[in-house]
Amino acid sequence: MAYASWVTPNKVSGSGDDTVSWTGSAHTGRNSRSTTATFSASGVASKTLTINQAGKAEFVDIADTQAVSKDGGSITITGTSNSSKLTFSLTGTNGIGLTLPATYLANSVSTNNGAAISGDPGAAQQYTFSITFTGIAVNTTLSSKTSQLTVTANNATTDVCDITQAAGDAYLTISPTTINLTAAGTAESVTVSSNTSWTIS
Amino acid sequence: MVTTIPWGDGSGDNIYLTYAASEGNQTIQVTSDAHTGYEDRTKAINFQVSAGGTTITRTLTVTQSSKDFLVITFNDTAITQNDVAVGYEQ
Repeated sequence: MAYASWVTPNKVSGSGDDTVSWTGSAHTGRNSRSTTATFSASGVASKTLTINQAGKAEFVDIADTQAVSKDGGSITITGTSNSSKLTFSLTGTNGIGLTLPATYLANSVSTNNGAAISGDPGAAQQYTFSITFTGIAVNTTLSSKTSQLTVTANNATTDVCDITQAAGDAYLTISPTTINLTAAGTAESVTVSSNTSWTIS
Repeated sequence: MVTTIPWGDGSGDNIYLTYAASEGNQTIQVTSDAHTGYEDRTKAINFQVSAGGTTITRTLTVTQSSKDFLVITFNDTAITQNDVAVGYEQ
């Protein structure tokens, strides 16, 4: 019996009247799939059984959350889908100041944001995608920052990733660090730079 | 706002730091009472922030020059100004 590996019968031989149960592995592709099993016995014509498995509804699933270091840098967010096209967008308040990249990886292939994925791998099975944000600035504030990435599948299904950048460190500088006043006490200027309140003593 | 820092040299004089607010980026004007002593004086002023369990301190060193003095010394043979000979008396 030649049949696809995604189905498994509970028996491959028998005699007389019998029942054969077929179990299919999970199918993550959008399209249905089909295979044929052949039953053979000596002295009689063989019989074929066609086994169909429905496709999985089109979906997209991205990480619910993603952390960004207070020092900035880059992050890569991953997910899975079986859609023929994915579109990424920054939604809500982009507190981190992310810049949406023009491309992402779909099934390890560089793909333009919003363009059809080469070979449509999602038709047969789900694939992994990833999108990388680079050049994220250091958080110089004492508050965490957030941005939101939304990915939309070809059937308008969406999923959201909430991105949070950790709060930055407090800093304090003064310039200059030494001043010389005249005997009369004429004013000199000192510049203080900080991201929080400061005290003088 | 003005923060007053005593020189602490027994003169009763103060340093005055004038600024708009004690947070973020600011330019501070530093002035002082006139210095009538004859030696320079120096004061360290600390700026400090505390946040998230971290304390940062920066120190501003303020030096004020002494008032110029003219010291003339007479003796039998020479006149000196601030210990420098400036003339000779016959």
